[in-house]
Amino acid sequence: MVKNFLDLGTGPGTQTMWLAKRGYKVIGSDLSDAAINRANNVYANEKNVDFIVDNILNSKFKDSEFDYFLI
Amino acid sequence: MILTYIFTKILYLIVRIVGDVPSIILTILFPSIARVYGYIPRSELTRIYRISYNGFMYNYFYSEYILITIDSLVRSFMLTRKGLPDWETLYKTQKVETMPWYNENFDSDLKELDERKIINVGGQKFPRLRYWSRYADYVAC
Repeated sequence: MVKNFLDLGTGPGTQTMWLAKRGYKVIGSDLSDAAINRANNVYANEKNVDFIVDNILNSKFKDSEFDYFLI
Repeated sequence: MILTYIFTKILYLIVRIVGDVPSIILTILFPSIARVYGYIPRSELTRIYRISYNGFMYNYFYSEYILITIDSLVRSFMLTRKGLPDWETLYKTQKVETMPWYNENFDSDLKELDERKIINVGGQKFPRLRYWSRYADYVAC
């Protein structure tokens, strides 16, 4: 069963991608629009990964949505 | 575990007062703590700074460990309360490849944790985030 992963403060998104390649379904979140836009452009064709703007201190995500969190 | 928690509290205070992590702590004591808990691969002890950006569900008290070993730029912002870095500007103006936390390879600690199937070490998820929020003035987000 695929595990859901939230990478908080993904930045360049490199680790998010590696986690996706390891078989996780990953969302990379970051406060910066620029960082997320860049990650979405660079990894546009990758599967099992999404990059979303989010504030780590007031996250829109719910604990129950994910199996693991990367801070 | 209690002693380690107290120890990290003391280190945190030192950083707050001195403004930096004394080199002896960074080079000797921190790696020793990491060895005890095994969360940082022994072969990568010199990469502790990077760990601060990619801390991986460490135990409760490791939040402070992460805070006080964070990259010098961010750390200075955090400890002097001058404000957080403007991440938006940073990512617009600087090549990500030049950022200290950039690593095109899979981080060795994550790889090890994944291979050892202990990536949920500590079992703490969002409660830890809430703990971090106590340091909202300091946490780089």
